[in-house]
Amino acid sequence: MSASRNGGRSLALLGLLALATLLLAPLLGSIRIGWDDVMSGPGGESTAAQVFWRLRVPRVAMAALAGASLAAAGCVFQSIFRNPLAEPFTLGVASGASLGAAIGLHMGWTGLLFGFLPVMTGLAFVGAATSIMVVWTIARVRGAGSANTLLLAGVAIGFVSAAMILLLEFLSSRPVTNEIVRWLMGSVDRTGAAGLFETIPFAAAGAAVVWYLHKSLDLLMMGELVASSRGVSVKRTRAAAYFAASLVTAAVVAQCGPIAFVGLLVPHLTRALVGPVHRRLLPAAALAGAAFLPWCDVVAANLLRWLHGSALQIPVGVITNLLGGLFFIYLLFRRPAEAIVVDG
Amino acid sequence: MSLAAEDIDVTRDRRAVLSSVRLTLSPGECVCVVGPNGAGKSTLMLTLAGLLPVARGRVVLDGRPLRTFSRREVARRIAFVPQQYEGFGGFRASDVLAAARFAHAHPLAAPSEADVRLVEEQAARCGVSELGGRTIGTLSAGERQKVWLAAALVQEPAYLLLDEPTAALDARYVATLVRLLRGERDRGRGVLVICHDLNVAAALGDRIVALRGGRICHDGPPAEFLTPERLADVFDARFRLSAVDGGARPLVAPEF
Repeated sequence: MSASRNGGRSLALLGLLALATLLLAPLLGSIRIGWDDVMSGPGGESTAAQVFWRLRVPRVAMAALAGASLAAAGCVFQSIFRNPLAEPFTLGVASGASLGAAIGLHMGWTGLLFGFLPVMTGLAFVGAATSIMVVWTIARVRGAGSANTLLLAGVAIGFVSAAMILLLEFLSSRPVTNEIVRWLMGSVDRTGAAGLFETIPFAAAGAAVVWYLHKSLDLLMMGELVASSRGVSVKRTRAAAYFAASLVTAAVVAQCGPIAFVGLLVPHLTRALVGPVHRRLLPAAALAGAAFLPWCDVVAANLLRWLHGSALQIPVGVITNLLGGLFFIYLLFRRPAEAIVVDG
Repeated sequence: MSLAAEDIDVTRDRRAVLSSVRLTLSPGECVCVVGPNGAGKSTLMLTLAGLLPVARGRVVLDGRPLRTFSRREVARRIAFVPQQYEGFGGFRASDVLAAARFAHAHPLAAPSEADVRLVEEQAARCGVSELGGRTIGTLSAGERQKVWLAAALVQEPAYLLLDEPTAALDARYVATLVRLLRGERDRGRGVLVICHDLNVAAALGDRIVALRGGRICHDGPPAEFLTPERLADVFDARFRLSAVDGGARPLVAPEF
């Protein structure tokens, strides 16, 4: 009964890829970075050293953390809903965060709360958390926390949030509308090192909860009846995994705005690589996400410069949306639609 | 020591499915549940496995109400093989078998050597050793059934509940399954099987329990149940009985 998948080797490769990304991605950009700039540390006086340590390193680290968090959260959502199309966006978490941020921009609340926390970040987090609670409450009242009810409630909250955001855009002045639109495009360079440090505790707490549940997630993926009969407390596990993954997503979206498709595309690829067992899938997805998003950001930051020397940087959300859309068209041609939905 | 339904009523979607059902499964006995479609057989099994709540009465496991056990505690004592599965998610047969040790290990522990040995033993007993590397979705219905049975045995339960385990199996494997379940009974496990095939029920069961309209209408040895009158009473159909094994075992066939 041997069934070894090359999971260990794939994990090691993904780890190397993520490490290489963290080391190489900060070197790429319009300002050339030399060895001396790197070695001079954050206190280096040259412009290149400042750009490297104060802008690019936090930006790449934020992209890696966001990519890892969104990919791992995507895996968790797909497992608890047994639906490979479930991800932060289909569940209303990102929409709630976006509505919170849009309210902040519309009202002009863009300062700091308690002298250190950006109000926008706080509002986005509150928006996401409110979405989570509303979705969960609807599902509890309507269907005792069943997977389908949760998913549909998430879709409904997504629509409501989208409607409210459209209304805010309509009511805002043109510059504010532009700001809202820019925020909704998603970007990893808004908050620098502070945003990174604000996100780490949420990511760590979420990762700890989800890792504790990894065997239960395997069984949930096999079906509720199987999970229950093997000893999983289905409702409790689903609630814990849902809240952990939602809070991680909320923390990321609050910093970066909605960055779509990472939570769908990366789990799909890693599941094909290491299989569905969460002991391998979760770390693989996190490492792949940590490698994927920084490179998307490098492309987004440099594409126009490479094409025609423009200093303009496009939001990373444009790249992830584009790749995600193309990937799904590829999937549709490669496999029947039903197989994508049912089997992942 | 037993798994018992004590005068239970069960409702599903506000419809009464079981009424005043009393049933006891003891260690070392095999009980077959028969009855027409919609009689409440699967509901009874789900309730005994603690997967459906009772509206009245209680299910008692080894002297304690089942609802006072945690899901992990239940899974260490009762294994349930359902009739249908919701999906497979790309898991391999070996993943399914390894995951069946969930209730016996810490959530963060790697599989122990004893666990690995147990998985290999049960896979060999159920004839699925060669299927370990294949994804469940690529197996035939019969092969899947064998994998799910092996997974239930990997749980090392005191009580084994199987909902129509022979439905997808060819004749050769039905015979193997009957021998395997008899073996589990002889090892001291309580085995409860829902059977549509009355001949399998006759060959396997120490007792046959017949359900009709959510009520138990017979509970006794196969020889008492397998008469044309009782069968007609339960199934609303006519049956012909003959004897095999020199008259030791009845053979049941519906009249067409």
